[in-house]
Amino acid sequence: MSKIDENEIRRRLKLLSQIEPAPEAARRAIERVRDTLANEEKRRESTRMWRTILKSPITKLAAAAVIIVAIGLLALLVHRRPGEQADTTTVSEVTKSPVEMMTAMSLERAFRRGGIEAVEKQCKQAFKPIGPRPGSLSVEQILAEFNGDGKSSERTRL
Amino acid sequence: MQSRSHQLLEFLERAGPSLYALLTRLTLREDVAEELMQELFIKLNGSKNLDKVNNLTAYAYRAAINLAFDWRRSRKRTPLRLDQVHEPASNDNSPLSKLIQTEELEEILNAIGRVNGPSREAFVMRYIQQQSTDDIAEQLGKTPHQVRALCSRALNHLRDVLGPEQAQSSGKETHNVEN
Repeated sequence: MSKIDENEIRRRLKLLSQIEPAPEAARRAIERVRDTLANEEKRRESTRMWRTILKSPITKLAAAAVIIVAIGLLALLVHRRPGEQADTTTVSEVTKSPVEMMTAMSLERAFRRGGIEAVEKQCKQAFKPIGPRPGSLSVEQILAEFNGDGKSSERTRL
Repeated sequence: MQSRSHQLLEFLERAGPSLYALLTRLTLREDVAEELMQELFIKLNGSKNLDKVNNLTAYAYRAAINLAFDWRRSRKRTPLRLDQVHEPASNDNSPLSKLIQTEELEEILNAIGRVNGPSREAFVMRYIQQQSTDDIAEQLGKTPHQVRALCSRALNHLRDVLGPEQAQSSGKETHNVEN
């Protein structure tokens, strides 16, 4: 270390005191601190909210109820078999009468489910009970078929 | 907590430029001063005892001085950068002159870093921040007389560390360029 006298020490101290940072740098540093303080405030706000929730017994119960319901719904979704939804639809379609199967709403639903193939399939299913037609049918027989009466269908098929 | 953030933001607007200047003078680097400024306000914001502080300005200045000297102590010896001293001390603006000047300032800052707490704070406020002894006394909670004594003690310490040896002080050492 160099050896210097008191005057030199004072001169260097004066130089130090004269150092001024660039205004741009100072502005940037202050802006950064301002952002940090704002972010810190947001973070604290969030922490405060959770602390309030966890401190109050009512909100604690409500939060617990919400969590239990959410877990229940999740468990229901997880345990449902993948083909379950489609099978249910098929069963409901089968039990429908041919008239119900051929309504615009039903056909549209089929189209949404499986496109034109599904519509064709539904049409085939609708006409299947009717089958080959006898030479003549009474009005009662026709109405019975369209109302999905299986026995009368069997009768008319022959 | 809400009021603390507001308090600190107001304080930042009021004392931010001065604190940044102080940190730049003590580190001789604007990038480090920026980092230390961040650290200072994060510490102030997280301080549990800030509500008990009577004089926030004095508290922040003391914290800034300590942070800057902690940084000086902890950093490794790195090559000096020529662009750090913005106010040239002499009319000679050559890179070599700047380098020498920065070396000189580093030397004296390192010596100040070895002075003990209250003396160092008083000394920095008096000689680097150019504050009056009355102001410093108010900030440190001491009398002006005590502040002068602290500054004198710190100056003696610098003289001991940096000053010429007895043999050299008998006229052989002529580093004074001011007069």
